[in-house]
Amino acid sequence: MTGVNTTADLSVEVGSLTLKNPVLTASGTFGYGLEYDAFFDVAELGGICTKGLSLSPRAGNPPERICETAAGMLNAIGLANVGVEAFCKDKLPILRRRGVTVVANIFAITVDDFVTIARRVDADEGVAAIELNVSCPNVDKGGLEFGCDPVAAARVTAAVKPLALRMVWELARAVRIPVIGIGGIARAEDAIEFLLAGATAIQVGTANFADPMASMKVLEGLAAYCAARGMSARDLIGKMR
Amino acid sequence: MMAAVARICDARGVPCEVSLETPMACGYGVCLGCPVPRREGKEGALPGFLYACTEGPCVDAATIDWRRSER
Repeated sequence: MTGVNTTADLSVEVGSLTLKNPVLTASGTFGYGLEYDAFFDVAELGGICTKGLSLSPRAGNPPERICETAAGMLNAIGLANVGVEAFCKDKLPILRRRGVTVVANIFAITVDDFVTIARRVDADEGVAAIELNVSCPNVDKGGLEFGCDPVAAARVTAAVKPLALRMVWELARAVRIPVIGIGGIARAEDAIEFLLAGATAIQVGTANFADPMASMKVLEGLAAYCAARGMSARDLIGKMR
Repeated sequence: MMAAVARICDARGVPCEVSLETPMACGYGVCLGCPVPRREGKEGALPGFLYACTEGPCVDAATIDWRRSER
């Protein structure tokens, strides 16, 4: 196993997919992975979730697109992306050569387009999993009402992590499928809390913007935590009763 | 003011570069929070906009669609 120098077994199983560790980077906060080349070897992560991919390239929304809030940021990028064809042609071969675990995030308006994009990314080697974007609030007809109300949204982002943690805790008890935790994860302690609450893996999101090393720091911290206690990452999952 | 300078330079055939300033969350090309309307498409780039962090902050004024920039 390449990756963080640790004695701990950090591997987790998300369905039929085995990740070398539970640390993923969230779609829209990690580009197509290669942008982080200058900072660290992204192949060390459990995986990267790509920027949302559509059938055709998309320009996204006109400026302004972002706004900082008390606990992070609000954004309305508008799903700007190079399109699934350019991703498969220009980005995926490089990611595959580097041994990066790639989760392709895809979005579409119609079910047919979802299927077409999924088939396209599945046609090439190198995509470990597909993430369906069914809730982006930044486009017409997408997402929940609060995503369209800046005041309500600002209130929500004032306390992302406690809410996300509770949702994971409740969800993990209600379903038999793996839950991936996301929302306010910036440090290893955050990731550990999500695993304890029942998440099988986690995603680091906005924290990547403030510190490009954030996901690697989360991974290193998790590795040190597990190694110090002689535990595996799997031992932590759902440990909180 | 930048648009006006770019216009004057363009009319007189004087080379012009502008230094862009936009809000940025990351500064290295992943958040896509710093778009500036682009006049023409560029091979291999996202359509519609250039991004001040990776392609700027200083760019040839002719690459910018000033009409869409002045809102």
